[in-house]
Amino acid sequence: MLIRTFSSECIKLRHSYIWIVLSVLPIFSVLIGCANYVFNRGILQNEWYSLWTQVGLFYGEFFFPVLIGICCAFLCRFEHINQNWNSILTAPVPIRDVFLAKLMMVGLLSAVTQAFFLSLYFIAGKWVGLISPFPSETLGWIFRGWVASLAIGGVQLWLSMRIRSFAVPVGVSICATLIGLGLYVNHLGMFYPYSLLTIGMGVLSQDSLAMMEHVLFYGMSGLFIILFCISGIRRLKKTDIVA
Amino acid sequence: MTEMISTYKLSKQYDGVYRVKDLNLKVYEGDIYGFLGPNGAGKSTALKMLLGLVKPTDGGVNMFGKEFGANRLFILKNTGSLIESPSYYGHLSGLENMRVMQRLLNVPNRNVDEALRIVRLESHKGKKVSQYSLGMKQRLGIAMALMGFPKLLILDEPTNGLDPAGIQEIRELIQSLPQRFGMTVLISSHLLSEIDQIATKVGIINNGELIFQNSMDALRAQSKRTVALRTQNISEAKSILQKYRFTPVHQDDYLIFEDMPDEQIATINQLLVTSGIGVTRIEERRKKLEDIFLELTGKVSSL
Amino acid sequence: MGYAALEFYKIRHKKIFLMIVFLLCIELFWAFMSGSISLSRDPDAVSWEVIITIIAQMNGLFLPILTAVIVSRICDMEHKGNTWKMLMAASVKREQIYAAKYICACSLILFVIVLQLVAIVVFCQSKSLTSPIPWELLVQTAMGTLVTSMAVIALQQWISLAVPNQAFALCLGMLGGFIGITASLFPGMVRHFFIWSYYNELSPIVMKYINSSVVYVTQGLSFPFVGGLLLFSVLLYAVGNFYICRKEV
Repeated sequence: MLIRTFSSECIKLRHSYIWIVLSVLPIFSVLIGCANYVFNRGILQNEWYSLWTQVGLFYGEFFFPVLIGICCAFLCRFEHINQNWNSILTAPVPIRDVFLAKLMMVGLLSAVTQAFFLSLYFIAGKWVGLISPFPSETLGWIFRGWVASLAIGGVQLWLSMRIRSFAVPVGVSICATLIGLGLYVNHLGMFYPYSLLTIGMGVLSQDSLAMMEHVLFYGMSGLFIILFCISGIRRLKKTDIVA
Repeated sequence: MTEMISTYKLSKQYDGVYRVKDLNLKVYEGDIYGFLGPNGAGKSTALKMLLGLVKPTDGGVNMFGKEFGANRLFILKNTGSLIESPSYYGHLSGLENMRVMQRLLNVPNRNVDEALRIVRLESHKGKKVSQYSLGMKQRLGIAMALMGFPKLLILDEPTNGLDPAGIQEIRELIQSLPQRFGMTVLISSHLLSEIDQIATKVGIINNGELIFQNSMDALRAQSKRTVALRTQNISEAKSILQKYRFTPVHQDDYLIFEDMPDEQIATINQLLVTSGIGVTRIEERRKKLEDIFLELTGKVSSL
Repeated sequence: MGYAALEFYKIRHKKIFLMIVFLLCIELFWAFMSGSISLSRDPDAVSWEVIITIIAQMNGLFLPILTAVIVSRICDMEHKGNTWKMLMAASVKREQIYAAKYICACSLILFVIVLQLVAIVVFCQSKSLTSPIPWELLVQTAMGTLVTSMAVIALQQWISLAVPNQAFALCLGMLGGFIGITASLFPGMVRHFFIWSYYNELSPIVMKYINSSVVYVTQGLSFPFVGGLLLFSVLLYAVGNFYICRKEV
């Protein structure tokens, strides 16, 4: 059932050009980060790790969470217009799957974005002439970034489903991301989905996480995902559809 | 006869005002049920409650003899619907819109082709739906509702936005559905003439309350015939006829009788002529269905 | 002017002011936090100039995004409700609608700028800075920000009306914010090509590094830049207006 709902989501994304938005922001982050790295080679001597701080800073701190917000708002926008909630909620699929299929779509899009960003990072590194071997931690950062992106996706989907406008949920994601930065600085990042991304992707501190932190990271991400899924599905079930 | 839809005391309150109140809808297998009511009477709200899009404040819905809440998937699988205006994704082509629904309904490709053929959209299926005319969007909506060839079809004002030829076509299509595919159809409209032509059963809703529910023939039977008579001297004619135990009503220079056999009319005519009162007109009058509808809905709202 | 009032009428219930105030609060909170931190480090070094510079830098990030959100909200309702046709039928010229939306967005941004000034004055007074309120500097800051915003609004409005999918407009706003905050890293030649860098560029105060210490130099408003930017706004507005008004509805 979930697979069918998901595959119908895939059709909806045809002709939508969302991939332009998804690719422009990572390209920009890497370009700027790269330029910054090249200009400041004197201070940035840690090869791949230094490059990661430069390219990852804006991407992980700011663009990626907002990108997820944009994706979620986008996935809900075409349901909000032209009475599509009517047809999707009278289709013989469980309401649970309607929400989960959307979250899966967010997961797929963010996974593609992460993979794209990773390859850009690799190309950029080779291009500026880094000689040390490619650090394997990167894969962990990318994966944890993806897990955290699911938690953010859950929150944003929940928001986008109840707010019919496109710009408002995106605006909220921008504000939430900035608040997240403050919480991260104050070491409260583990308890807030938007700063989980900062921690997971290791953009501000590349120290590998301790065992306890790993558990806490995955635990909190899972908790946020489950919490907002339940709340989002409950809302879809309980409230009236206003077309 | 199997009950396809039965609601009991179905009610919906918004901000303390009843949009739908104590609705007891009964639709039987093979019916073409016309759900009739003026704009804003609560038709769409009621239909949305049948499909679980709007949650009832009170009462409940049974479809195919099963309670909605516990059997949502089974019921929706056997129901096709078009609620309010058609749903569509503007950036996708007609065919791609059908494919989205096809995945959700889990039906084979031939159903898509068949449904598109029935509503005659095959030649436009590659076009983006945002470029469709309102009528074409409406056809697409009907095609989506038909695609699963469900046992029950719920169509909310399906002829909206169609031209006269299109209306005729859709009307014929709906009429053929019970025989061709064994479907039961619930169709809402604010036009009595439309319901009159296709429905076998009718339910009339006004201000959220069901004020009439019976077969179409029963509604037509309400349109009784009367006989109107005009003479040169109305008041004298009335007193003469009352002597012979007729009970005419004096109205606008006419004497109005309830429908009566031809022989009685002949008798009346003879009575008056022999009394020296010239009969100038004898007319048969028939209350139009529209008048009954207005009377039913108008009276209630004036209360 | 009547149509601009109508635009304001149309954004009722859209909670646009709430959104503005919310985003502005975060910006000011952030700015004044860093202001307070430097104040606690060295009370003498903090002056009006420092606060104004911080705000100008923050504006580079926040205002492009805020502008994108505001303009998108004003324009999206026409796409969503398919109201273009209705407006055409009401014999309103599209140029008038375009102008009305532009004026509406500009006045909202002006409102933001005024709020910022008030906040700066309140903050500095509460920290009891000794020097009197430098009205001239504040007005120049406001002017610079407004002129930059006018160019950005013209660009955003064009995109928001041309592409119904608002993801693009918002993405552009994000890119703008990104360029705005990183502009000072670019060499001057590159920087001057991006309108978002002028939030910082047109600030009447320049931060200079002399012997590895930071010095704030008051340079006033650069009129060639202001003139050039105004010209560019007019150009963006005209091109957008031309494009939108000739588009098939």
